[in-house]
Amino acid sequence: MAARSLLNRKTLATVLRRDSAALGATAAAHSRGLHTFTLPDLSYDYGALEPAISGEIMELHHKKHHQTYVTNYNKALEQLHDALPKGDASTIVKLQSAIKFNGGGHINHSIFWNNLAPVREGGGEPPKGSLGWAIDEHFGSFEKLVQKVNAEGAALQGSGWVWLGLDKELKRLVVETTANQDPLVSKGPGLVPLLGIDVWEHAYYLQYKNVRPDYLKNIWKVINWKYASEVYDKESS
Amino acid sequence: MLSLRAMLLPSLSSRVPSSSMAEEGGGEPPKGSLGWAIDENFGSFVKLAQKVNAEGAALQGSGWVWLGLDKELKRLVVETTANQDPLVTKGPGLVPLLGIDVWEHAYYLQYKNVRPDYLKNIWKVINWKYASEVYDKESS
Repeated sequence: MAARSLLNRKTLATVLRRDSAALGATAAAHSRGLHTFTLPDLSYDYGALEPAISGEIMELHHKKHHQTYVTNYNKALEQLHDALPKGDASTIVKLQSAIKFNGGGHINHSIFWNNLAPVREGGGEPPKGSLGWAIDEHFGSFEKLVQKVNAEGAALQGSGWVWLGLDKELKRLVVETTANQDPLVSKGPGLVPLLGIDVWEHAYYLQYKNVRPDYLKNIWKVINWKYASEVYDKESS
Repeated sequence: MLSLRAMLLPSLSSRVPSSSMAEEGGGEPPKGSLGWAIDENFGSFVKLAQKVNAEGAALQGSGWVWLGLDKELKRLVVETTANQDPLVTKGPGLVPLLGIDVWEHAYYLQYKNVRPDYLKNIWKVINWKYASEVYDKESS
């Protein structure tokens, strides 16, 4: 599910394309049995989602924001790796905030890049098949789902995400929000993210300024429902 | 309450910081009792700025970083609050002297993701005259 997107494209070629310092750090971490997370590549160009989301935003969002989460997640995990065998309880607990924030940032953004697709690759095409039916069943119509997501996304105080999720236990779709970089699972262990929309200001400010509702209105034009449907089919079987 | 506009500069506008800002006192480090209190509580003005910048940069999500007066303990504190929580939510005796907005909207168009650069530069236009007035009034 989401784990696929976290670990994909971690080929040797990808690692070698990073700077040598990162390669050195990766090699050192691997030799100690510690997994190192890497920034996943996008399957489309930064400018491919225009005009819905500008290339400038996509590049900063991916190369700077997501990369920083990955870097800091790895740093925190390495510190945890050192503290665990020492039984340094205080350090272990102190690290939880950095792990949740940066790990959540990496998880959420990895899902987000898969949730988006250029129009010519199907971005914006409403969901068909089982997910389409489930949306009609749980929300009344696709339009009503969009309205609900946009309303909750616009109303979110501060930074966070708005999600369409599958509740595996109750076998139904839900719209949820999470604060900061909290992953959807923090709202319920049985919740699986199908679609997440980043409503942190960095996700839209350069293009839409303070008008978050306009960003929400436009992002539907590049939502990749094929990916959401795949996850839904896999997790609801 | 006291407006953000008054906290920054009396003539806040879209002007780029210039010498006229310096003439109005923007950026001039605090003198008098607040200056002494900063040295006493933090060691030096530079150490205060470093502490504020570190806490502001590390704030997760949206929020504010504050220099406050703890009226009960009679000391200065650096605190952060999340979202739009006022400083008083961190303690009923806390009085805000200086607040720096670290929501992305406060800096993104100019500094993009580099919040530390925004924090480094904002000190050039901090109105310490105002902070000193509040400090003198509330610590009397």
